[in-house]
Amino acid sequence: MAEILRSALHDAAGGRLQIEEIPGLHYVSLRGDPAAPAVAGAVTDVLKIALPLRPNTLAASETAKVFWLGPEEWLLVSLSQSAAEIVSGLRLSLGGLHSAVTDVTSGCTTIRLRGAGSRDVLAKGCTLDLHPRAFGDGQCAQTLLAKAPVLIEALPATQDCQLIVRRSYADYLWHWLHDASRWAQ
Amino acid sequence: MLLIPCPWCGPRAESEFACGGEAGIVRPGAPDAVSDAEWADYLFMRTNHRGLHREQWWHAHGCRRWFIVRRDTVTCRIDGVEKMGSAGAAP
Repeated sequence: MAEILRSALHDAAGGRLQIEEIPGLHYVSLRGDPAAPAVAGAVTDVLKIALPLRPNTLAASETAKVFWLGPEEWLLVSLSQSAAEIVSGLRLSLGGLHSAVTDVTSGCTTIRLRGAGSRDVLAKGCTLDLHPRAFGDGQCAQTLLAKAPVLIEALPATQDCQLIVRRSYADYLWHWLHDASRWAQ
Repeated sequence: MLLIPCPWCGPRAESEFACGGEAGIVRPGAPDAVSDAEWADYLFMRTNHRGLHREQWWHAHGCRRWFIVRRDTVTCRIDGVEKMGSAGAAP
């Protein structure tokens, strides 16, 4: 599996699609009461991002993203800060508040789809309307892609998308994307 | 396939959800203080209602929250949804 995922870029669908894994990101799960100012405050302290409270949206800075996963659950993804730093920063900031901060880095990976064919390929295995007018900038959605649970992120101003998947599904999804993209003309 | 309006995520395909059966079933109290018949009724007996039915659904592959759906068991038409613990939602 590792060997396949390390293959940097896969061109498919007549050049309309490129698939690549984005390795080395840091993932932290946060659960807490959205009404408690300390929860949003902790995220702002550590990542300098305002906590997204609207369902299925994300907030981003240049180096990190915060995804809404549920009314009291978020996924923090960082390019630069390590998960250990984020976890200790959040815990320090949250103090004794009833909440959960968990490093889930070893359980997740990201697959990026670039090119005009990106959403056509996803549409083959997903029930959501992924047209940019329905799924645009700043939106994310947890759903099933080819029966595998994924978090889909619409990348700004393009057809491009990113998938955050459990690593145990990554190999399967990679092969599924390969196969689906062969026929996405 | 049903299109179920999750109170948080909006309309989503039934394949993202798991059904948790009839809503509003109240635990009768301490197990050793109720009769076997009452306990069995709580555990096993359901109304199997024909018509508008309140049932629990779990958005398993979305926001992972439980909520209540009012669905007509004859036509499968969904009348509305309630968040758990909201006004009008039975325990």
